Amino acid sequence: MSKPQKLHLIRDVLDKLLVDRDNVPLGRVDGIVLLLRGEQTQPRVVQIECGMVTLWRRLSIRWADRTYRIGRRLGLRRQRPVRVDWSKIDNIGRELTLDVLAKHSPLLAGERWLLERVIRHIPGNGMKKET
Amino acid sequence: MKQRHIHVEYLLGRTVRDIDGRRAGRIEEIQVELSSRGCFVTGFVLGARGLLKRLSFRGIAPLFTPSLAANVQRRAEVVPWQQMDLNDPKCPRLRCRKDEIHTMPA
Repeated sequence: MSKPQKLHLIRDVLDKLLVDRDNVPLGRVDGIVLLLRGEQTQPRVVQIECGMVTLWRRLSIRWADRTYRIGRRLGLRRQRPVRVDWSKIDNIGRELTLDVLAKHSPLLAGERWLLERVIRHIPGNGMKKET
Repeated sequence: MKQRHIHVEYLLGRTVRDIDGRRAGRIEEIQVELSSRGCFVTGFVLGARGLLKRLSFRGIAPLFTPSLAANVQRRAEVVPWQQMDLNDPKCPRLRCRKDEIHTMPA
């Protein structure tokens, strides 16, 4: 078994860039979730969280709730933060490498929606036409 | 105690008080240990040193401000996870008195 590695959560993980196996950027780490099981059990890092609401909540919970409500009124459905299991993290360095593929990841759901609904209809978008 | 999830980013900057209500410092950094079993919290860095650690101050500070760096080194405390009560993440508390903290190496 390899020697345990010591890390500083805020310096080494929070706000770091997430990339997939092929180094495609997926966003940044906006939040880190700890699991508490009891007073005698060591707290464990279980998930990382990405999303605008998490980021807003760091500034102000009231503003985060307002943003969420406004978004819902405008019909934005993909505002819930995406949680990624800690076990999916492959490597922690300058970036956090996840053991996922960008094209299947819910982290890029917003970008995929934009691509399908908007960019695809712009002339000269650089996308290949389906035959 | 029921199992619950808390957000690390909301703990950041929270003032920690001891069992007598005395101020012990703010949570500025969280130390973890990464092993094949998972990632476990080992300690909470309180005080200015944690903040400077986040800003990677430690490496360069002694070159420019040795006295300040030494002072910060003395003032910082790493509280082991056993001594931190996170039942109310908005008001984290120590399970002991401020002078009874068994500080850990940073």
